[in-house]
Amino acid sequence: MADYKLILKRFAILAVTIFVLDWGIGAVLKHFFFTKKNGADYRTNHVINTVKADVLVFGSSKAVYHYDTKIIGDSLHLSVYNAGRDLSYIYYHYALLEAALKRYSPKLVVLDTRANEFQRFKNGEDRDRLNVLLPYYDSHPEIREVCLLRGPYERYKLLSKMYPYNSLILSELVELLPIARYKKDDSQNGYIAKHGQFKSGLQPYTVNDAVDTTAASYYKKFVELCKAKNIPLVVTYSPIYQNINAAANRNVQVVMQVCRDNNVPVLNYLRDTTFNNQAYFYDALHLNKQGSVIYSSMVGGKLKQFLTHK
Amino acid sequence: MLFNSLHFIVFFLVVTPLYFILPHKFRWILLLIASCYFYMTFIPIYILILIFTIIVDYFAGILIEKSEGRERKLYLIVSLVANIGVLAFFKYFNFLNENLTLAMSGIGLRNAIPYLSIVLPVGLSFHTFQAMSYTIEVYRGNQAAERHFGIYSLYVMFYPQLVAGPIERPQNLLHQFYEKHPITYENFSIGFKMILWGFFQKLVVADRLSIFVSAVYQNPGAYSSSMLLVAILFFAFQIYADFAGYSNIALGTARIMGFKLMTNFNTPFFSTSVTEYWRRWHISLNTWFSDYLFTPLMIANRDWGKAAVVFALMITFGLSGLWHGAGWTYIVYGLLHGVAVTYEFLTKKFRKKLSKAIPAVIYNNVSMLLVFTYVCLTWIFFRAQSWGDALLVFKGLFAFKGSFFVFDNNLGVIIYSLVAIAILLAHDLSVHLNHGKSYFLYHKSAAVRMATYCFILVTIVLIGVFDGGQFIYFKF
Repeated sequence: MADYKLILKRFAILAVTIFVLDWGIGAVLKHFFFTKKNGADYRTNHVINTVKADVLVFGSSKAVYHYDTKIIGDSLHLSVYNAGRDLSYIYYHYALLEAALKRYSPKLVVLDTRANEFQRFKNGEDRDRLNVLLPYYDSHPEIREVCLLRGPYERYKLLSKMYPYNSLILSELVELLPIARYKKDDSQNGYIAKHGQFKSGLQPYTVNDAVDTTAASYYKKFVELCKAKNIPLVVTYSPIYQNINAAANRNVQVVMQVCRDNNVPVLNYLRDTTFNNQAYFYDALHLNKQGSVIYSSMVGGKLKQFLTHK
Repeated sequence: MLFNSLHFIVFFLVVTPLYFILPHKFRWILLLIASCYFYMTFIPIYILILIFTIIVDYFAGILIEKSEGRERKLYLIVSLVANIGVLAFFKYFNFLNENLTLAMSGIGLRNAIPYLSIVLPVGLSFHTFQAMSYTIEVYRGNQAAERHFGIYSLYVMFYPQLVAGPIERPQNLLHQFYEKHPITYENFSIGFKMILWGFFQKLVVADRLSIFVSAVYQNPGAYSSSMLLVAILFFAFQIYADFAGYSNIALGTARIMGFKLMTNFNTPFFSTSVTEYWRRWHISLNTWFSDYLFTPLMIANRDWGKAAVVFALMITFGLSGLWHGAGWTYIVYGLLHGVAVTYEFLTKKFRKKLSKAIPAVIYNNVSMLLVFTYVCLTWIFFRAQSWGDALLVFKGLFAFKGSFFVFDNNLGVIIYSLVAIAILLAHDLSVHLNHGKSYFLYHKSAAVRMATYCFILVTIVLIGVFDGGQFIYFKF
């Protein structure tokens, strides 16, 4: 019986200590996270909490590197913010759109779509990457549903105040460096130019056949949310320097069908002949600065036509 | 049910208090039900395989004990055939068939035996080996046959070590099911430390390192020599942390309930010879092979002199490689270790003289480094998805291609991984220097111990990889 009491006492001390540490460390990490002045986390925070741009561009790294906000903005005579993020997927885009629409209504939304948008990731990478949204779980109820896609026990893990910053500690520590804290964001309203030229030649772009129905349903929800809020949406496929396979084509067809059902225009530049030139690419999937300038001019023109006829 | 899941934590928090609440005579029933549930969370129907081998071995044990001479041997053979047969069917059928096809095509024939589309039962190699150790020990007269069917079933199915060991011996485990285990602070404290460190090894080290290792081994041809080198080194720590992490959680879970299971790892990367490494790595499997294969083989051929040892070593290590997986890469992995241990056996006198001629600090550290390097290189065959991939890794490694410091987007992953490895090594060094006990976890000051618990827990939450996936050894 004495052992039983001792065990309970020691565990109570440990539990209280851990609880205090969790709150304390969590609060410190939260402070540094939300006072970032640059980088991808800063840009995500900006889209969720402050952006008021007329045009919002959503997508993965292809969006970040392909949509020159100045060129598109000059074409449209509107302000543009590139809300793309490396290694992000439709769930992330949907959560960001929901958070932004809660604050204001942009005049146009562009969704850059990958040829493997509905590919099933065996390792769950697409859901795993939603960790960048966890710091907003408490303060933004509208994105909770998406955060919980990470796993069945996510809501319990999120009882911890440190857990939302899991795997973000390195960038948090970098933020402590004076040079990082005073450095301004080096993107141009979310757009980042890639410098360099792709040299490896044309290779196949292979998508596996399995379609992730959850991803497809979130894509549909993204389209329907814009429709419900009366915000014009344009779906785009920006260029790649790869030959897409039949499964990727089927992915594209699913997107086309969703867009047709909701009267959403699609601009498909995936294998546009203008970009059959390696000199425009940084790597097989991303345009370099030269390519993105040409592409942004083309898209800007098309978006202008679309808004004029709207 | 994986140890690194909330499902298991809930399971553990229900079963453990119930175990202490129940009177001793009913505890085996609880443990058996819990173990069945634990196993059935993987593929429920496969419990029938376990039941089959349990029934065969239970009756074989009793019959072996009751009989004498050839009849006794016959019952042992029946038990071994049943166990090895199940293992061969589920694990090695396609491998054997594939090789048969190759051999037949070499002489212009066609193999008409179809391939099987079956999922390997979780931990099959572990519990069949544990079951075989029972009948062998009864046959040798070292263990009385277990009359209580429930207790014998529990010996095979005890959930902490059911799916990935340690592979127990009946002399160590069976009697513990009859002993009364009161709740004690010592067991709780030791068990808690083991579980905590096991989770750290799995979540912070193994699953963190696996991100980079998996990316490289999926497409080894695309990476520079420096990246391949990092992946090779990381894999050694990954597999160690993964398996030792599992073992620690298993030992800790059992220890809280008062059961003392075999130690499975003892800081293997501090070994100064490959022979010593195998005394510190997966101890329960290696002692199994030593007791039931190596020693009998050596004794049977003792007239051959040194050749008997070499023969026994190569057979044992070859089969140990095959135990890990149905593929030639695994066999090569085992044989490479066999070659190293054979070399050490044959050069024992020379190395002893050398160790006296060189200062101990230099000799030991250089030996440690050489052993670690050799072990890392052998892991390439273990980790690579195919023979071709393994050769691709070797070719890429020694081609010195690409820049040395090109880590691109992997820098963050590599920094986290290095931090994890540094903590792992600091812990292991403290265990190595502190007579098998972690300096920090077993510190005499309660404040230091508490600080260590907090550090481990905070590190798990901040840089641990959650839902990282199953333990590598589950597939064996």
